[in-house]
Amino acid sequence: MNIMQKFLANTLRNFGSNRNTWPRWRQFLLSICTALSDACRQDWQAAQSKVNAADTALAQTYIDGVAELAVSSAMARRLHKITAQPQCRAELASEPGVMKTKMPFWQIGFASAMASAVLGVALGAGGYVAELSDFDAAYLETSMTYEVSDWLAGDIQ
Amino acid sequence: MLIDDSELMRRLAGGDQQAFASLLSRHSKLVLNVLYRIVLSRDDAEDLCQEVFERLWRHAPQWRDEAKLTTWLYRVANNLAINFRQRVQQRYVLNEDLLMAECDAASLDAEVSAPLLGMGEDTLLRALASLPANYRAVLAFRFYRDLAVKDIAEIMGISAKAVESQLGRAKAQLKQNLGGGE
Repeated sequence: MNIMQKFLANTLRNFGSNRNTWPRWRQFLLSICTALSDACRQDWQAAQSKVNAADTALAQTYIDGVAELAVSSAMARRLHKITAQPQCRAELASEPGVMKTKMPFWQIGFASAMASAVLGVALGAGGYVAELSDFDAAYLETSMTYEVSDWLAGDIQ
Repeated sequence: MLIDDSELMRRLAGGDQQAFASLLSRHSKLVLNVLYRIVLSRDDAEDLCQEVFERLWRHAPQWRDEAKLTTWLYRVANNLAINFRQRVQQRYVLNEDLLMAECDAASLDAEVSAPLLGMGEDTLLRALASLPANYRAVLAFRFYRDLAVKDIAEIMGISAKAVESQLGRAKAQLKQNLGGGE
């Protein structure tokens, strides 16, 4: 038994025959081992055949072992009574609620952005039509200075 | 002429009771048996089966022909059964004896149809009862309905890889419970 066969036997013993449940590095090594070693490939095929046979037997046990239920007449009556219940109303495409839920998110985003822009323009343009009741009181003090020491000096004086 | 499920669903959307009766005769037995294999109780399976078809009737007007009807039915059945088992387990705080008592006495005493490996149906049901509900579901879809892994993944809302993994664990655990080991 070579080292690759030992690796395969060890993996089968510890992780079972389903390679999908193996750690990834073992899955990777398996593909290398089966590609490089004929003996390893034969061992792997034998393990798979054994598993397939066991799975087939298990499936047959399951199929034969659990009784197939028939729909009883009482059950059939219960099921047929369901039609006495009301059905949910079909949602129409023209209903606002449906349209809202069907609007893609990017359209909602675009609509919000456009609404913000329109609001901004409206507020900004409002200045052109606004009436200033006391225009003379609104003036710009051009001689104003931002030098703090001047303010302090003025206060002291 | 056999009317396909899509056409029956269109008629059902209009409240056609005959279409509903046709769908019942076509699918109710399969849904009932899938549910039975997950909840392991005939009474509970019947209640859940009724709930599945109530949902089908109620929501038929909103049906969109995007998936196969059987996929939808199995998905609803699976969700209801898993939720039901979780509620039962929470109620009994994982008391194994009470959980076993949930299995129908009638089912356990039922006639067994030529079981392999010399085991009775009660042995198999007890072995299944000790599996988690999602393992029972994956076994039911794979062994009983013979569905492909990708179809099971769509029904259960998980990846195909996860289905393969659950299937592998379920089979190993079932073999172990039946005394076969790995």
